[in-house]
Amino acid sequence: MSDKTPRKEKFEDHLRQVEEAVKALEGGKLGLEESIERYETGIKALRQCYQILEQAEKKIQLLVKEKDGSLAAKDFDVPAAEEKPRKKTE
Amino acid sequence: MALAAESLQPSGREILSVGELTRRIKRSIEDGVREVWVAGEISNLRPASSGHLYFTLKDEESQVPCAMWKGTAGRLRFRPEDGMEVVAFGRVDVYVPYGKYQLIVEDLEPRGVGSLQLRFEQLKERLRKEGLFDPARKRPVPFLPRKLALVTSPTGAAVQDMIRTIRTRCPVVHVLVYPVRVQGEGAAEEIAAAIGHLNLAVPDLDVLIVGRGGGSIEDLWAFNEEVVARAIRASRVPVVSAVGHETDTTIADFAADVRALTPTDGAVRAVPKLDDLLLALADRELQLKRSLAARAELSRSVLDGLAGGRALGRLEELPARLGERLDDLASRLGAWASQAARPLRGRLELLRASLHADLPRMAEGARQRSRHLAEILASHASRALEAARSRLREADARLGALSPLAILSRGYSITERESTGEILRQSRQAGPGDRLITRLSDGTLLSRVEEPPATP
Repeated sequence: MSDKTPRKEKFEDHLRQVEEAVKALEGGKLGLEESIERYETGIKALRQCYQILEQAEKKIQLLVKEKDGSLAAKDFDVPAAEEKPRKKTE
Repeated sequence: MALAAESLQPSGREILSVGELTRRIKRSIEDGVREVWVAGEISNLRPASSGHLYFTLKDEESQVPCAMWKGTAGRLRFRPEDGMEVVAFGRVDVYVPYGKYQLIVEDLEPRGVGSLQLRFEQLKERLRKEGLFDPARKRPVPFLPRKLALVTSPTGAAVQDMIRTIRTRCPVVHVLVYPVRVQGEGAAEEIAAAIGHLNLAVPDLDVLIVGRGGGSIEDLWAFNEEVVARAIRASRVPVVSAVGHETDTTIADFAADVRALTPTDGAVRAVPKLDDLLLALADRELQLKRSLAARAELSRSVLDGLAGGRALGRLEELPARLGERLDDLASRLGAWASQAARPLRGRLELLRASLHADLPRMAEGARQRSRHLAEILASHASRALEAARSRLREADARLGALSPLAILSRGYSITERESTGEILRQSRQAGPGDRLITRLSDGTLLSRVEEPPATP
């Protein structure tokens, strides 16, 4: 199995960076300067998590085989589920 | 000198030729026993090089030789084995030249267990031995797939259930539907081809869900075919199998990286819950800020302590102690000096005197320097602290301008208990009387819980 690192950044990698930053900061053993650095790393990774979620496409498509064997995509409509009654009474 | 005696005239002995006898037997059998179903145990199974199959069907009483032609044998849905209990359908044939009879088998079915079930067991065992189901070869499904493909029928409830589940649970996934037939002749080949095609044509595909809704074992059979199992195993993209109802297990389920019980379950296992993700992210953000603030506070108090003059106190004592030591030194020297070193003593006296004069000045210098040092330290500290504070403010502002608020503006809010600062995820974390701070997109609301938690 090839060990090619995927070019696409993975959400879970960024999340792990955030967790590591939190753990390091909460450990309390870092100097002030290093604490700031860790904080910045953590916040940057956090931003990237949000960015991935924001940029993700929300499309649902049906694939159609073309004559030359390639795949074309067109929108696929699925009727939406009925609205569930709201649980909150206020 | 054979007397041809075709009729059964009781005119003395009737003498038949062997051929005639055999032909009579043949007629008798073939008239009396046309097509039959026979139950028995297979033994002495031997495929001939011609492709025809020969075996014996036996029970406690008797046995009958059987033959199955190549074409018929090839259409069998299972592999016959010695010892297997079967039911055979065929006709008896008397082969005149050898004087032997045999059952020409036209159809064979395993007895007790359906032939499909048997075939399922045989294939499963064969593939398992090959290592196709080895847990070590299974790949994990990515935590947040950005592109997901469904290999399933484009019509029917299953595809709609899967899409709806994905849309509700995690709307930020790009879903592709590769339509295939999920039963009937050629369906297995279509499914296998779809898996292969997706691997080639969509390089950034994160996960594949292969499945269909419930049905009979015949309906689901395509997912028991070898070609599908091999395609799943050969897929670079992790595959979730989602076939039928909870009680249905297919060979595709064994071969897949993740086995789901139903199509909806497949969607659940393939994507995370977006709500949980967002809350987790908001949590971490708060933790980061709190930890940094705590760390900065710690530094500040240490520096405050330094600037408060504790170090200076020690410095001030120094001149007095220095003077003591000099006196002591001088008296000891003096005893010796008075004996042998009057000039030295004189010089020592001078030294001492001058030191005494200098000491206050030295002490003052030291004091000033330490005060100056403390000031420098204090200003550095407050500059570092100010820098930290402004970076925090900036990061806060930058963060505030980004997605968390966008998500908040959609109606999400974050609620924490004022007293402890803990973020509420469940209603039972707060009770009547608790003051709560709720952060909305544009600010916060302070509220108090009126009633005990009510869960629907």
